[in-house]
Amino acid sequence: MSLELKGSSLSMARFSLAVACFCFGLALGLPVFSLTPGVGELTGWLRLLKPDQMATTTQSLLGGIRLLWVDGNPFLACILITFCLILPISKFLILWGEAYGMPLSGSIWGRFCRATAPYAMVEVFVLALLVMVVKGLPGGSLIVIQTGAWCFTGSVLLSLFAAQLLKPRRD
Amino acid sequence: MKLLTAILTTIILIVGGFLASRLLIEKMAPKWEPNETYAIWIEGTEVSPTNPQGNQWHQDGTAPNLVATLTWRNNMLLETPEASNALIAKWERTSIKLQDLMKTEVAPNALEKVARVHAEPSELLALEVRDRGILSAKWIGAVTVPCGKLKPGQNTLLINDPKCGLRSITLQVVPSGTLEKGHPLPERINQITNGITVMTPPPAEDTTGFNSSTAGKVIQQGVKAISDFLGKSSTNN
Repeated sequence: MSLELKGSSLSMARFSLAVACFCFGLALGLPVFSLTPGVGELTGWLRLLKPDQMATTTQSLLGGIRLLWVDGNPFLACILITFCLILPISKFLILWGEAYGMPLSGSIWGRFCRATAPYAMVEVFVLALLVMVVKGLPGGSLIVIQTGAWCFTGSVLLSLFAAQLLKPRRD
Repeated sequence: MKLLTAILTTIILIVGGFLASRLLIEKMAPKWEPNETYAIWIEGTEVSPTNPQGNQWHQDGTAPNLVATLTWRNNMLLETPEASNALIAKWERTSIKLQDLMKTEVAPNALEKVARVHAEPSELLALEVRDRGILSAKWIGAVTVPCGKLKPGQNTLLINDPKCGLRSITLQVVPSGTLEKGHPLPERINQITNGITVMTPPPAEDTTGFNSSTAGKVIQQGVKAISDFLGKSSTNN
């Protein structure tokens, strides 16, 4: 009975992990948010006279990293690459290893990932900070959270769920 | 073996998700709708450093004075202001004429240099660029593009034909309602290389020298503009 349960929870964990990885890939390419600039009562006039400056811009995670790199902020780009790409992918690798019955958490890589796990949520914090900063723009600028952000959230939640299911195996 | 499977599974799923996101973006991108009226304007053009004969554009070494036009169903809907001495020209959606500045009241859409088009995807838009001199407007190049190739957003037509003096021409295409309601412009950038047809100069055109009919037209336009301007000034007084 317990073996059966273990089998079903394992397949559930694998399924959650697979969806989480796919959602993570989606989140990398889909737009995370869009920004529509506004300057109060002058918005209409500026849209007419300077349409380029007032155009809506949407940003994806990879696009944002690329923009930071190109705009001369390699340090910030590296931080985002570490927390938005390397750490989540490492976390997925560890979880897949465990899902295939090969615990990697005891290895050096596993120990490193476990030590850095609390920081893997930094990407969410960075995103929240970014939205808050842009929300503070004057003149009714509008930020809309796009599908990429929902995919990212889904990926994080599913990976947490999969990790929870795989926990008894680790123990 | 298990490690390799774990690594491969992770990479394949993440890359698969990323490729699916690209596909979704492409599928969800708005397309040219025959029932929609579109506002189109020319944002810029780039011409080759020499004319198709391989000579300098002007004998004194200066760059051409670029003027672009948009023609639909044999009607010229739009002519840009002149971009002097330029191989790369940029134009805005709006332009203010001296006579507009003399008026006490100007409607915002009167300043717009926009063509409105309502067409089937197979219909052609013709784009022509000329080098405007004092008396003539020399042919640089012209292309036609099916409306269906255009998508809401910025559309850059890339031309790779040595016989044509044009390198690229950029159009902004926006559903007309977006402009009227003052909504922001679509962000999408679309590069078009297929479906563009390079036009040959009309037989009456002399691409290298003086063109009397165009010169006559320019003189007539000049005289009309001056008389309009003087007429308006005297009425105001």
